[in-house]
Amino acid sequence: VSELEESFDRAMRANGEKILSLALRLTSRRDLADDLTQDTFVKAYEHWPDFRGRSDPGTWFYRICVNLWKNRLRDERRKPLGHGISLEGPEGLGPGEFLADQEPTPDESLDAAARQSQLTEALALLESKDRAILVMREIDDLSYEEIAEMLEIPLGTVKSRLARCREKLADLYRKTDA
Amino acid sequence: MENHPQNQLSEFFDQRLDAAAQALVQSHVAHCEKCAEELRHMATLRQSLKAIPQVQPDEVLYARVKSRVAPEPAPSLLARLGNIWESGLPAFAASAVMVLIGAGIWHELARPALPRPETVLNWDAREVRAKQVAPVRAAAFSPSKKSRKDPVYQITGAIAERPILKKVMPQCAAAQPAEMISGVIEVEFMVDPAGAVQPDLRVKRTTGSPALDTGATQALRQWQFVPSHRSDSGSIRFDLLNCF
Repeated sequence: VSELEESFDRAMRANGEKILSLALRLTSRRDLADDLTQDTFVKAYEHWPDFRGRSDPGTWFYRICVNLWKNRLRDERRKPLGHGISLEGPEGLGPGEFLADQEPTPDESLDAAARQSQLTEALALLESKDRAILVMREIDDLSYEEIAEMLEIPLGTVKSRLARCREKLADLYRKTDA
Repeated sequence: MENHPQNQLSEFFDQRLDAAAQALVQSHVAHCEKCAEELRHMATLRQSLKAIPQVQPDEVLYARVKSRVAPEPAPSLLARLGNIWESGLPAFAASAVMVLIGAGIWHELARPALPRPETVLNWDAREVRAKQVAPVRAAAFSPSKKSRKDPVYQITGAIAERPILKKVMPQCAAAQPAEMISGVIEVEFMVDPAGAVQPDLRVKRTTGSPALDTGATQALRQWQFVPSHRSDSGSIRFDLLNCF
């Protein structure tokens, strides 16, 4: 195994959790997330000799993952309705199976578990790009500008869609409070 | 009637407004319970989203990446013999092949012993390594790129821990599959203590093609696992479009 391969392997393993989690949140499906994560690392490997040491590999992998996901989304939209795998919603698997691998920790109350389940369902039902904006902002702490650049959408769209998503998902808590 | 800064709350929450607007919304929120509640919901949402656990990839995922980026090795002579064996050719035919290649086989035999042949019949060395790395959550793969007709498959559940004695691969989709098929099938199945796949399978996810589904379930019924003291269930996923 060459030094190049070893360094790539280390970087891949150090960021595997981050990229798979991102992929799962973007696609809402574990099978698609696995595929997207693999493709991300395969793509990264191809350019690893040029990239190595230039910046944080995690940020670079993140960007590759988002770009591949965007390309798939674009390809899906070009296809006639019903062809191939949709990234638009919880097709095939129910939205409840989003993050199905996650098990609640023993000290989580039933309410918290139920709420998280509702949240993941609601997240899976969002339009793909809305979900990406929310995930990038709320989980990965990206700025509005970074999100706009990465998703190639205007800054105003980031603002309005983020506000809309928050309002939509806040319904979960309104219902709970009521 | 009170004028709520509804369309500014999200940006206020992220502190994205300019100082004057930020202060204006702040003073409104101080006496408006409705807007304050909206902000509390946003904070709860953020907290809940951040609390969603990260997902750890298993060794199988890393092994698949590596197998896709690794240079193609020359097919091993023993592996080819294994394929001949698995394909059901009579023993004398395999013997004839061995005679033909006899002059060159000595250096292959001089290699360290491979794992039990039944577990590596259709695998190359990289996949054997993947299996050894992740013995608990076992997942097996189709052959490497040297054999382009077998589909990728992955087994999950309790049965994934039982070694496979015999596997029969379903046909892959044609090079230009009909539209409307995903090519991926997931089947739940049960294996009895003797190691036989029980005939009553349940298709969890269809390829979209009845013919492909039937081929996959018929193939799976012929699989044989190592006997155990109990029955085990699990699920298998074949990708019949992207055959390596």
